[in-house]
Amino acid sequence: MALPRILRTTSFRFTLIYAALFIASVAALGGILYRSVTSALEQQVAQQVSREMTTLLADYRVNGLDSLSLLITSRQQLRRRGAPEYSLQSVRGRILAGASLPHGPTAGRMQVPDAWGNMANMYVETRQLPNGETLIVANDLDWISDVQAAILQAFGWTLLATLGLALGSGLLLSARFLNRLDAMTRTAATIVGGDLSSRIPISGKGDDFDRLGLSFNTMLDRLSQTMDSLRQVSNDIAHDLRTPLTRLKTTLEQAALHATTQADVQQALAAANAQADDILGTFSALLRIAQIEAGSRRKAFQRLDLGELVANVGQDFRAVAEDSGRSLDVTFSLCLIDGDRELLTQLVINLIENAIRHTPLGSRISASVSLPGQIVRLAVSDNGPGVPEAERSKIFNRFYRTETSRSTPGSGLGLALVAAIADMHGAAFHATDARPGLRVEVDFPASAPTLGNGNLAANSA
Amino acid sequence: MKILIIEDDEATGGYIEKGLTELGHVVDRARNGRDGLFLAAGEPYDVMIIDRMLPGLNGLGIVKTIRAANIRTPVLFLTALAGIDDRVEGFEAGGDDYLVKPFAFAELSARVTALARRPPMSEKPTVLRVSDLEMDLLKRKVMRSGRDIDLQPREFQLLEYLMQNAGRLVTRTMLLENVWDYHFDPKTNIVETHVSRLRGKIDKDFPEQLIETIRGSGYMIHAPGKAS
Repeated sequence: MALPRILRTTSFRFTLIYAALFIASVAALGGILYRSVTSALEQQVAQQVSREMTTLLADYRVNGLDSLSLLITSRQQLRRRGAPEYSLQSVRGRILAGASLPHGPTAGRMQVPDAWGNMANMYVETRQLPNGETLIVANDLDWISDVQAAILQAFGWTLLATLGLALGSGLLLSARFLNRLDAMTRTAATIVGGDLSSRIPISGKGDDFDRLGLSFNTMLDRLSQTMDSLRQVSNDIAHDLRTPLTRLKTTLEQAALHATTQADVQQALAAANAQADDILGTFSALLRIAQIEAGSRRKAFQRLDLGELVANVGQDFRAVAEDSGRSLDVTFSLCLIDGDRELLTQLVINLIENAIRHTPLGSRISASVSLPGQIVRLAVSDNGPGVPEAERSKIFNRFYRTETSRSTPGSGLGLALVAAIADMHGAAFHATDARPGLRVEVDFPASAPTLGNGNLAANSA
Repeated sequence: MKILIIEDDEATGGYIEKGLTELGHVVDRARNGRDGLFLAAGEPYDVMIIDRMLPGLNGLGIVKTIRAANIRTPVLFLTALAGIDDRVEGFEAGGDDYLVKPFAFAELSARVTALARRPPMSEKPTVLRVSDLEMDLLKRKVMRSGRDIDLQPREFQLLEYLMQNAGRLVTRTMLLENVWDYHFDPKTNIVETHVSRLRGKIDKDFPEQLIETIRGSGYMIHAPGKAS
C-alpha cells in the first residue's frame, strides 16, 4: 500500500486510534442523550394528556355533559401551540365540542391528519362516557422529533469537529515527528558522506528524540575520537619511524661504503640488527596500544587485588632498581578493582621502568596503592629531576619525549601505553610534582567489596 | 628429530627449514593448510611448526582437527599477530607455544627443543638434578653439594625452569613468558638482574659455574663440560 509517508508514521496511526475511540464515545454519549431526552419528553406529553383527561372527567361527573362541552369549547378556543386538543363526540360520531379527532386507543400513539392534511403523530387518550359519548384528548408528538433532530445535529457537528481536530493534530504531530526524523537521517547521510563533525540537532525539550539524539551524538563523538586517534597514529608512525629507519639505512650505507674487514661487516650487521629490533619493538608497542584502545580486551576483566599485583611487581623490580643504583619502596593495602591482570601488570611495570630510566643514580622510587575515598589510587613517584609543569600532561602522548629525556633510550611509548590501559579501565591519570621529582597517579574506580571493607591497615612490602 | 613445518611464506619457511636441517633435524614442509593437515595427520612427528595464517585451512583449524583425532604432537604456532587474544586463541585450539614473527632462529630452535623434550605430565620428576645442584619440588628446597640454598620465590621459579630445560638453551623471552608470565617485553633488564642474583646464590661460592650465558640468545644450565 503506497500511502503518503506522513500517513504511515506511528504518531499518525496513534492519533487515528485515539480519534476513533473519541468518536465512539461521543457517539455513545449522543445515543444515550437522544434516547433519554425522547422518552422524557414523550412521558411528559402522556402525563399532560392524562392529567387533562382526569380534569375533564371530574368536571363531567360533577357538572354534566353541557358543562364539559362548554369547557372543551373554551379550551379549544384558548388553545396555544403545543397544548392538547380535545374532541367530544356523540354516540353517532357527531362532534359535540372541540376538534374532529378519530377514535384512538384508550391510551397510546396515533396518526392524525391535521388541518393541512399532513399526518401528525399524536398521543391520544379516549374515554367512553356513561351515556355513550366519546371524549378524546390528544397532543402533538412531532415537536419531539424537532428536539431529536437538534440533538442529532449538535452531536453530528461535534463528531465532525472531533474528526477534523484529530486528523489535523495527527498530521501536525506526524509532520513534526518526520521533521525530526529527517534531521537525523540528514545527519546520518552527512556522516556517510564523510563529514564526521555533523551532529543531530537537539531541541532542548528533553523528549525521546532528544535522548536518542544525545546518545547518537555521544556515539559519534566517541567514533570521531577513535578516528582522530587513528589519524594521529598514522601521523606518529610516519614521523617517528622515519628517524630510526633513516638511522638504519645510514648504518647499512656506511657499511657498504667503508666496511673493509670481516670484523667491520660483522659490527655493522650487529648494529643494523639492533636498530631493526628497536623499530620492531616500537611497532609492536604501537599495535598493542591500538588494540587496547579498540577495547576488545574488556572481556578478560576479572576482580583482582591491585595492592597484591603491585606488591608482586615491586618484589621483582626492587632488584632491578637496586642493580641500577636506585631504590624502590612499595606500600599497599587490599584494593579490589575490576581489570585485566596482564595489562595492569604492564601498566605498573611501565610506570616503574619510566621512573628508573629517567632518574639519576641514587634516586628513590616509591609505588603505592591506597584507597582514598571511592577510588583506588596507584601512585608511582620518584625524587628525580621531575618534569616541567607545561610538559606534564604531554608525557602521556605517543612518542613524546621531554627535552631532557631525548638522550635516554626508549621509544616514547611507555606512558602512552599506561594512558591507553588506564583509559580502558575507566581510570583517571595525571602527573604531578613530587617536590622534587615526578609523581604519576592513576585513579581506578574501586569495585564494591573494597569500599565495603574499608581501608585495611597498610602493609609494607 | 622429525619436524613438520606448515608455512606458506617462502622466505620464512625456507629460513626455518634450512636452519633446522643444518642442526641435523629431518624436516618436512607443507605450503598450504590442506597439505599440512594431510602430513600432520598421517606421519609421526616430534614437533610441528604451524603458521596461523595459511591459504586453504588456517593453522588453528589444523590443530583443532589433529587434536580431535587425538594426535598429541607438540605444536608451535608462528604468528604475525602480536595480539593478546590471538595468543589465547592459539592455546585454546591446542597449541603448546607461540612465536611472533619476526623472530631470531635461535629463539625458534630453543622453543622447538624445549617442546620436543617436554615430559608428559604424569612423568614429571619431583626432584631435579644438575651436577651437584638438587631441587626438591615437593619440599620447595634447593641444595648444592649438600648445602641448603635459600631462594626468593621468583628465583626458585627461574631455577626450576632452567633445570627442567637443563642442557638446553633457554631464551630471555621464554623466561619472561614461563617464569614471569609477561607476554610483553619490559624495557629494563629484569631477567638479567634475577639471573645474576640466582648466580650469586648457586654459583658464586662454588668452583664450577652451572649457569652459562649464551651471548645474544639466553641462558643454559648444565653440568660442566656437558653442554648439548
